[in-house]
Amino acid sequence: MVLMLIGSAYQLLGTRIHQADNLEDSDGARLAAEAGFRYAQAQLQKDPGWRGGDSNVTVVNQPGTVVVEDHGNVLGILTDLDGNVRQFRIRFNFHNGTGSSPDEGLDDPDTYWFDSPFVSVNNLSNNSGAPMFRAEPSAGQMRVLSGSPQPYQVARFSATVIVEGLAGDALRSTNPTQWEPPANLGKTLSRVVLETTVARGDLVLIDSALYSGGETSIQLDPSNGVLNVTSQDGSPPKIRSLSSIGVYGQDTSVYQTATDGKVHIGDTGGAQFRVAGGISTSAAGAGDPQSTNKQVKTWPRLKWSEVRRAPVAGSTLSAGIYLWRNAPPRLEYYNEEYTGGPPVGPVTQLNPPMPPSVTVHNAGFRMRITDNTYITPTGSATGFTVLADPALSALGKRPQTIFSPPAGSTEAPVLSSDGGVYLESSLDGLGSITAEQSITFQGTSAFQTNPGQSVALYAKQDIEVLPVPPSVASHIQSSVVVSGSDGDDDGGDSGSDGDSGGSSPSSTLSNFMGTSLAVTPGAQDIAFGGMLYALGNIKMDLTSTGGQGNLFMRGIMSAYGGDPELDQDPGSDPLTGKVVANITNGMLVYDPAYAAQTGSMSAPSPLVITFQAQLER
Amino acid sequence: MNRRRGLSLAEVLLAMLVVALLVLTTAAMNFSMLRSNKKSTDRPVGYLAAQQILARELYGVQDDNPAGSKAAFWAGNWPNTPWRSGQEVVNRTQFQYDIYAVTLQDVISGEPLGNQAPGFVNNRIKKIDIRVNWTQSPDGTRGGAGILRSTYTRFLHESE
Repeated sequence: MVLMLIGSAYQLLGTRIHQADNLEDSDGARLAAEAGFRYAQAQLQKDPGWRGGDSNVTVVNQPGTVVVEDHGNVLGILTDLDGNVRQFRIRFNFHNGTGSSPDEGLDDPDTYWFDSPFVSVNNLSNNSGAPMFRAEPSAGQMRVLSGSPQPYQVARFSATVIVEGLAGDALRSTNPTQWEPPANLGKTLSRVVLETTVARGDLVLIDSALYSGGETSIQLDPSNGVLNVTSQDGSPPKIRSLSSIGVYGQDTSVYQTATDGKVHIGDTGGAQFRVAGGISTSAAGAGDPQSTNKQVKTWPRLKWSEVRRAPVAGSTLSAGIYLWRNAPPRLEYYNEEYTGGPPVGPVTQLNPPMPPSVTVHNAGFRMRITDNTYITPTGSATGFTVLADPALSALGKRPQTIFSPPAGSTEAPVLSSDGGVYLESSLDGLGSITAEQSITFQGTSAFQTNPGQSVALYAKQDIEVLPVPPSVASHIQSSVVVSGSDGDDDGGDSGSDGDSGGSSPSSTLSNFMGTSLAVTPGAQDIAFGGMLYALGNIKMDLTSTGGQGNLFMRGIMSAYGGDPELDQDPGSDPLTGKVVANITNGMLVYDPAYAAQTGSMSAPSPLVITFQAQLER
Repeated sequence: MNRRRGLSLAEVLLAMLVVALLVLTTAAMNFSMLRSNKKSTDRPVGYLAAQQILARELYGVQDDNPAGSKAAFWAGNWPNTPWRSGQEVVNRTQFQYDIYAVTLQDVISGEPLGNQAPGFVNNRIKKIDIRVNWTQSPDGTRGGAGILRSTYTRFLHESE
């Protein structure tokens, strides 16, 4: 009996000791996994392209902490004050060699092959989802193969980091050279797997087709005009204002959106969502007040210093006024700053020489920009102005300013001005304009940029679209044509400078908008693709002179009302941030593909945790 | 007639001695097991106390309370001498603690890991170690157990 008593006591004591060990080991494994996540977080914030390194290097080597990165696999060995050893392991490598499908772009590790099925994914730089794979046993390793399970997608501008944390006596003898715990020692080993998803806070929250720091007022055709708002990625379509939004037309059906669409207005100062002239609380997409604090988190904050601009030392064109005249067709250059009227001084230069990035076709009153062009301040002029002789307009003609990259290139040329850009012409093609003051041009334009370049127009003051002069409007023959073509409409002859007529305008525009058209295009429409970003106001007037003009926009439109460069929130300036539009119809398609400039993807960026869970113990 | 022989006095005394030895040995082992059992019960107490103390200390510094303490914490390193030391009573047990903190260094760049790029801050990591010592158990019955000790280690990111 005594022996039985002694035996049972020792049995229970062993259990109690193991319980104590288990608490510390299991919690230690959790802490190790969290430490691994913190390590990954720091690396990802510093370098959004980080995926565990692309070589075999020791990154941290100090008492108590050693971290090695081996071609996408990360091993961390932590030692506490009592000599207890813990590990964290992160795996980006598919273990499927080089060039095999699916290909993560990494060579196999030199040393650290992890047998975990959990593979992390860095999708921070992409504006669409990426598959999450689970590795499976193959040839003695856990590999990602073409048929491997894909349990879910990693969201755009996000990364999912899966960290395995280990703790226990079995690790006591491990080190970077002998990192696997010896087998069959009967020692404790606890394992925790922690999955965390982080996202680029500056991009992932962007969710609306239209942002206005001040009031938005859109006047549609009073008889049958509509404003249609959709989203390219299937997310609930939204428009936002920190103040009121008014959409004026025939009745409450003028605002069209998906059933899950939202119209977010301010929650102070009596902000309202007005439709058809009346205060509406039950229109399609009824106004949803949101606090400024909440709304500003979703705003694209694009600083002037971050915008892709034409280099100062590259191809340059003198600032001033470029005036098109007829009989004979010619271009006159005036070294003056545009102040709202015709030039006051004599002609500085007739048919001025152009840099390699700019070609001029006098007969077509056409200026074509094929590469990045910086407008050099010259004399007292800082801005770039293109005017049309009134006699030209009287003939039903008007200039064209066209952006088109050379054959074989898809990079949209950028025109940058330290002043304003004023174009008494159409604006067409594939390009980007940045101005330290305002950008103004005429309607019947089709202008877009590449998704990776994001910005179509960036003005530190206002973006303004003027109506087509009535004398010109009656001569416009075809609807806008997009997809990088030159949009030749009526300016003059065709063909002699490489113009192409383009395919059917409706099908081209539909292809460009990425969806079937909600409104019938017309001859005086404007179409944009990209981010239209004004620190001041956005004003579009297509109808005040009696014409008919629709607005088609695919991307994001933002009237900031402040300056993100100065860390000001949207709507900081109560006098700006307004969107005012007089249009026949409008079609806005939110497209997150334009949310970020590819070049900015590699810059350090703070990340927010959007999801965290333990997967396995 | 056969008469059964009884136990002599010496035999009885010898048997009692053996039983006594067994009982004393058993008792001694039981006392030892009790002490070990108590120790294994107290270890989690110490571990949790270490967690609690560390969380409180780090909350204060990350909250920059008092002002300037966060910047000083992230600017310094305490690998061998404690950053903080003190005593705290948790669940009627007094714990003595020492906290050490070291910024992780990137061997390749020679800079702190997650180095502060121009205009981009709050991306460093510190390895934090805390050791707690205690000798009293709540009911004061500990004897001969010596100083108990528990350690706790974690990474702290500057933006937490």
